[in-house]
Amino acid sequence: MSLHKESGIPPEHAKFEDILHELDGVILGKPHQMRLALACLLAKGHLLIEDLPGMGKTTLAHSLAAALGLEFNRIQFTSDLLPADILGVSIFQTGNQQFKFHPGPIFSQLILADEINRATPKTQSALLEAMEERQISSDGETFLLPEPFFVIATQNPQQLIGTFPLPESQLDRFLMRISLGYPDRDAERQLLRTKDRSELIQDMGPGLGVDQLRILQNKVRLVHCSDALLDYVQDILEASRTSEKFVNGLSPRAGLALLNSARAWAFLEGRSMVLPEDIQTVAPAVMTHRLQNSSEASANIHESVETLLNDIPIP
Amino acid sequence: MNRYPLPDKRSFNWLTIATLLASAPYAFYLPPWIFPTFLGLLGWSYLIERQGWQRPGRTLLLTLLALFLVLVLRQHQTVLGRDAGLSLLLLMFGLKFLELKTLRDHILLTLLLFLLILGNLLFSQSLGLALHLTIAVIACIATLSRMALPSGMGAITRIRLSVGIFLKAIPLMIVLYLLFPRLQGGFWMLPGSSTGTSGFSDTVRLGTISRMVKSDQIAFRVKFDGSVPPAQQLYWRGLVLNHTDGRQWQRNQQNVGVIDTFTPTGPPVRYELMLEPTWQRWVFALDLPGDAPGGVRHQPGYSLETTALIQERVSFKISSFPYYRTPALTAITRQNSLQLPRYISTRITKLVDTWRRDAQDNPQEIADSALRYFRQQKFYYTLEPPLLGGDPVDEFLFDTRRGFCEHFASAFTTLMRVAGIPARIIVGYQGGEFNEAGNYLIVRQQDAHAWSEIWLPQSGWTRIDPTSAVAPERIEYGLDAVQQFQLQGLDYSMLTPSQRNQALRPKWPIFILDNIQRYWDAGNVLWYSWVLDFTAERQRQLLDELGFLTSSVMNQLVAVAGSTLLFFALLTAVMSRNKQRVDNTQKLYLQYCKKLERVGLRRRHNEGPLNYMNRVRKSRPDLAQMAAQVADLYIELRYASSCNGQFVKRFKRMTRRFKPNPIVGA
Repeated sequence: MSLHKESGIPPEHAKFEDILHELDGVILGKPHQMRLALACLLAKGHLLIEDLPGMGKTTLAHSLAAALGLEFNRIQFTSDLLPADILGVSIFQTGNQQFKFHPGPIFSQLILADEINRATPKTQSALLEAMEERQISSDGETFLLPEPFFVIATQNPQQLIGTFPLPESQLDRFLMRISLGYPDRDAERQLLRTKDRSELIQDMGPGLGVDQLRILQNKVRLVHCSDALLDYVQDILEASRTSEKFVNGLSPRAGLALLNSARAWAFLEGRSMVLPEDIQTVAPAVMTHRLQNSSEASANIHESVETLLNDIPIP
Repeated sequence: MNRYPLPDKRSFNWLTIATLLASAPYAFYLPPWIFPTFLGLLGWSYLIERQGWQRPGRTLLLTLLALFLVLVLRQHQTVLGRDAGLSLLLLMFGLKFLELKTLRDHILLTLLLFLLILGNLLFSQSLGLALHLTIAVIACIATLSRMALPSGMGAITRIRLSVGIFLKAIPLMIVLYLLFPRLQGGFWMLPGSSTGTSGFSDTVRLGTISRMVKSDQIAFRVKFDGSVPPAQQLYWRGLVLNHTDGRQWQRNQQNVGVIDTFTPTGPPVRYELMLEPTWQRWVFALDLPGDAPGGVRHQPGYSLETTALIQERVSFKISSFPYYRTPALTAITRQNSLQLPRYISTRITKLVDTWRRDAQDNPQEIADSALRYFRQQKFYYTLEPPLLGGDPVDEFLFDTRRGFCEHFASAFTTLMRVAGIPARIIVGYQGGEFNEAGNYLIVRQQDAHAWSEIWLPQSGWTRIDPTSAVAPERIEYGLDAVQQFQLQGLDYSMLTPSQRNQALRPKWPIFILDNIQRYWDAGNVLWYSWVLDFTAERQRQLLDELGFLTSSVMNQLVAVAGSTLLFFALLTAVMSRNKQRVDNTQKLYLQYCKKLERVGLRRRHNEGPLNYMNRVRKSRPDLAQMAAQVADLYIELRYASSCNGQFVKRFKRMTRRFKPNPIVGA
């Protein structure tokens, strides 16, 4: 199509097609979610995966790290996990009579915070603060986190026993929330038939690499958003604020999140400009965890967001 | 910790490159130690930036500054004025590099670079420098863009962006250039400008011209109103030399103020003479100049002089009469034109006596005999004549017989005077190279020439060029040709004209270089006449012609302010027109959707262009191609930043002509 030829972006998205293809081989039957996850990282955002246990959340995080060629650390959150277990501690050195900081597992380019809602709010907020600031403070000293720094957190749906749900204010720190859901019958059949997932991850290629990723992230920032599209984004924000379906409207930060995610999505589609379709595609993943239904009785939040989008004409 | 944001590593590279571009010309203009010192400071800052060297402390910086101040003071005895001021500016700029830390420092230094760029123009306003500085300005803009938008743009894109910004500023630049009040007089002529002399001085010794012709520096350019006269007429008259002591020729200062007259016997040749600065007064006009233009006055012997020293390029409109007759000599001129050195050898008097006897004292025939003598005896035209001793004319005529135009002219003139014919030497230029690219003649120092004039009763002063008797190729083709023929071992007189041209045809690399040089020079002339020569006077003329202003400084400033406002208003208008165009696109698109609605494909109000197109394609494969094209253009116009007029037109045509068939195709 001529669009792709005329766009200023060279066929770099082709690289992503390869990566996505590889990922699809590991996470079966979920190409849309994989694409969203990749777009989230391209837009320099953190990702929250919400699902029941055993749906492949960890595998997704693991395979993403491998595909992008990033350093990977996994932190299993439990109810007795303490902030220092994540951030690191200062230990007294008998040799030189000084404290020395021992960095914790958070000092890695890609963190999988597994079952984040199992930890206490104190520990959760330690992680979330680090995500926001991209640095941590310990004993009055500041340590910069590596660049890039991604957090993929997984969370069990809150109905399960023994969880501390993340407060909305902190959910806002995640650019997107996705859930995988059950695979369809064919995909599950293939899953049952083929090799173990962890072996498949080990078999993956060397990955993209940090430098490449950084270049591509910069390119994503250059994807063009026309005024007409900004109108559309603002209409969505306004509708969420005036609608009676939601407790609170979307924040300005949510608006930026929507735009940046749409940019990354457009980039993955090989386009140099954002289209309303891109906004519509990323909107559920960006918006659902930021909004709350006002009355318990009404339908679930996904449906509310969908209705909202359907009601807003494209300007 | 520092509060200001830090720049990324590459910003430093951009800044360094821009700085080198902006400061490079200073290497030629400032005292030799300044620029290397500046480069040293840049190198030091590179080591700090890249190798992690320690940043110099405040004390060290202040010490260096004091040192530089003292050095500049010692060099120039002042810190003010062009050379001293700019030396100091450059050195302090280098010191500032050592302090580069935050992004703010980088941006500040880049903005200061524009000052450094401007400073160059105080030394020269040549076309080459202007082009170089344009590149430097573009590099500066690119550097600023690098600092404002640090990532996501390749160097090429960035440079393209800054070229775009530069081009957008050009209309405003032209308006400001035309309207901004000119600073009268010597703004550029700051003290300390060079007074390098080239060309002639009052006295011509044997050897003066052969030194001059080694330079291919341009002496002047001439633009003729009609066609260029033949080479035999291109004698550019400079000084008339009357007085000789046997070794050198001088101007006769006695009859200053006497203006010689002549009667034209043919139509005049009109031309514009553009003189390079010579720091002299001579104006080189074709034989013989008519009325003197403004700022120029006649001198004895039909030569012209300016009233003020020629310190910058000047141009004069002159008409000359190649055919003329001069009246009878005054007693004093006659006396001056027969003056002889104290000693004339007997060989000379004997020779002249034979000619006089043969010609029965007919001056024309005596002159012919002399020329025949030059031609028939083995005289040789060369740029490296042997040194001559106490009686140069005698030695040249009878012993060495190797010489240059000045030798021939001086020997011939002496011979004529011995024969009792009034004679004198004229120095100036002969010939010139025609530049097809700019349709003008370039005369260089290498075209410097000396010839004789003798006074004949029937025609008055008559030009005789003894060099043409020995080396006609010098007159016909110029000095280069003489060397060409000598190099190729060809005898000019034995060749047919086509063989001569063959021999002179430049070989291809030279040919190309010659052509480039020719176009470059033509560009230079345009640059001069369109840009540099736009003086306060011409500005006033322009404003008068435009007729909306009397050219007072106040009015001009108001006009400048007004046009600047107008420029930005236009810019805003253009931008809002783009917006309008977007709205127009939307209108056309909605019309297109309406047409589809009539055939049962209503666009849902939340349906984006791609989704809609896919739906249309699915349900109406016959419209698929059309729908894809419309969607492509619509996206390009509405969602990409494209303002391509071609696209707008195509989109309009496509949506207007779109007539979907109501029958659903299979």
